[in-house]
Amino acid sequence: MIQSASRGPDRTKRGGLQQAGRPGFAWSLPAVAFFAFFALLPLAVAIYLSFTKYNGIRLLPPKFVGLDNWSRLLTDDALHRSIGVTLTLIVLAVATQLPVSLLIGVWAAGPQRMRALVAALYFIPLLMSTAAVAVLWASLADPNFGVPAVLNGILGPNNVFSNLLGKPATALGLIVFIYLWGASPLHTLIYQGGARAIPEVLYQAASVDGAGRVRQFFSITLPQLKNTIVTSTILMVVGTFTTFDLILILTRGGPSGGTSNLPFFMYDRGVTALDFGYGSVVAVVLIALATVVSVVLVRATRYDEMQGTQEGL
Amino acid sequence: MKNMRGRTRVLALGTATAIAVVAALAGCSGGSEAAGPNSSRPEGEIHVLVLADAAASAEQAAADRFNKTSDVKVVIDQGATAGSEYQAAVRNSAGSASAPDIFMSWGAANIQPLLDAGALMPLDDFIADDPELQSAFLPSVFDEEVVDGSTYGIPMRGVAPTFLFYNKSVLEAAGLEPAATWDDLLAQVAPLSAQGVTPLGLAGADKWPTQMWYQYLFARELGNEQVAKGLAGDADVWASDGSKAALAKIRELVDAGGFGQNFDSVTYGTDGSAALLRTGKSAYELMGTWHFATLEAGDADFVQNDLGWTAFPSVDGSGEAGEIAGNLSNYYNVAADTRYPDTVRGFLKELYSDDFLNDELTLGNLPPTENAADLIAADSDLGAVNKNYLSFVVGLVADAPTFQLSWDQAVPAESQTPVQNAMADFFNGTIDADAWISAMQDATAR
Repeated sequence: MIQSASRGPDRTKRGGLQQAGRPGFAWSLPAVAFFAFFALLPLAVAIYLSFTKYNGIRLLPPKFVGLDNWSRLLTDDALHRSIGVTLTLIVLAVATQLPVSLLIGVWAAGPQRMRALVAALYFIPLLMSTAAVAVLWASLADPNFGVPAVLNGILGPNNVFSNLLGKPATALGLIVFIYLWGASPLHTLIYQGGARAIPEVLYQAASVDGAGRVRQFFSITLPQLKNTIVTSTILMVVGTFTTFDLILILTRGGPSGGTSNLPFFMYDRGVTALDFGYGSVVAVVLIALATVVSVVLVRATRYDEMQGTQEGL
Repeated sequence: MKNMRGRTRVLALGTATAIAVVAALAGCSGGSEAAGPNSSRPEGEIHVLVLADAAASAEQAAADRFNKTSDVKVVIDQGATAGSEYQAAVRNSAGSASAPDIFMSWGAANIQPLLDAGALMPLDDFIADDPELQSAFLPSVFDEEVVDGSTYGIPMRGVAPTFLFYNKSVLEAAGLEPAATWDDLLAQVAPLSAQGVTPLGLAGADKWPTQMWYQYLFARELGNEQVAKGLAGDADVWASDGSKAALAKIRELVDAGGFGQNFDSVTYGTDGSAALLRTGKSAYELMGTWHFATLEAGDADFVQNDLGWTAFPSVDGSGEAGEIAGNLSNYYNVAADTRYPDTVRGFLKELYSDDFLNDELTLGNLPPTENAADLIAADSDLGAVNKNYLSFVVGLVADAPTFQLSWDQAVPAESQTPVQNAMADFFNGTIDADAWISAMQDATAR
């Protein structure tokens, strides 16, 4: 980091730009109304439903049951496992997507035409519907007719791939892999843009000073991409928190609940089981957990006071 | 900091608005009990909400026939294609003036919440006027939606018991006959495995195919009457010796390699298990009536030449010979506040008319009616293999002393997933027999 706290912009005293183009509250009314209607209102309904018993029949309106649904929170092992699955998925998603997207993104930022071609091919999964992709992968994962059947010939029978959907660990691994395949192109795109914005002069100066490629990557590229990394990581975390379509189609939360994350669990308890009260409890838990994680992320990465990385250039 | 406070204020304002709207919604949704004809329903027509799949054409044709002679017209509304969405639509609209007059359901457990809400009309008076509304249908199917002595649903669409499908060439190559007893089946596992064949194909990833094995072993060991008691909440049934014997048999078959090693990765929807049977990689598969159409779609020649079918093997237990399990049928239910009950009754007659039943047969659905066998024999559009097949299914259902609805559909919606999970988890060894028993006791406790 180049700048220190004392050299950073003084937000309180600086006028001009800070005040320019900031209209009054009225300007934000459409956005606020939209947010209130499509985010806050459903949230309020979910909180309200979480204190009721309701099975979706309007003839029998939600019946207030106090904390009945909430008391199940502490004893429901399936819910606890879902929280674990959700967090595991997030950790694995970030651990796989971050390095892969970062490296490919920086690589694709280079000027050669070949790189642009490879990058364009790499972005194809981004254009596909997750539902269609899930059905496709279900066929590919079939132990008798899919990829595992081919691998049996190479790795021998009963290898790690021969029962992909049948074991919690491999099923979770498959989902992480599909997400890596499907989501990393987006993050690669972000890193590509970020890497292209790094001024060439920094690399030229480093070359003059004798820094090799690796040193340049760690001393220039990485620090310059700090804000990009933070943004992309937050997107990954939020995206993985709400993973649902793939799990619904590919594993239905199985085997033995091993891939049942919170969104799927919420769907199962709320919609399949027609228990909108408890389903809403799970929804509120999901929101609370996501809020905690995002606050921690924002604080830990100082996303809220993010500053330019090109101070002094 | 000032900025922050502003944001908080906006948030508070939004939340307050939202809560006010919720309160208003809650206030006006204090619904009244639906009963008697509702005159705010559309005039001069009744609405039938149908599942928007291939079979909807038969229902549309029935409405067209009916409308030729009726002043009050039947309007067919095509709803969702997926059962769960369809049911959500029915539930949401129940009791309102825009609710369908006639809609379909999946069995007694499925309609219980609507019954509790007073949204369904008992059809006993209709049947008193027109006894064929009951007598035309197979009792084992008709009785499903008789609750506390009153009938709430009339069977429509096909009946779908489960039984064993097999690949004739595979059994022949191993020098085997289709298994008639449980011991036969168990003894065939080794020779079939030796041929490099999965003895019993199973789409375990979907869980409901796994459940079919329990349904038959419990029918054989305990009898469906006991099973029904267990599903209705009798915890002793699941802990009984017969239950443990059935579980032990399942364990023995799984451990012997009857289903191969990776059945939990095989799915039904993506043609996993059907392709196994079709291509000779598995010998048997326990599946529902619709499997014929699935296999035919994959390879029509196989179905014509190599596909065999047989009743589930006998087991030395307390169950009667020939007890079966599977999906009984769908049922038409009537809204309690329909404006034109007489029109509804008239339209329901279509469900046992030859025209409607023949349309169902053409679609591959086996009508749950007493005259199904005659209709099949008289149908000149059906090929010999299809006729044989349908006649076999008719015989299976007609001769069955009991017909147990699939377990996950016989329990309330909130128990569906726990029941399916228990089936899959015991099969693959995640839980033992005791854990399975307590899982079933929990899932069926009322």
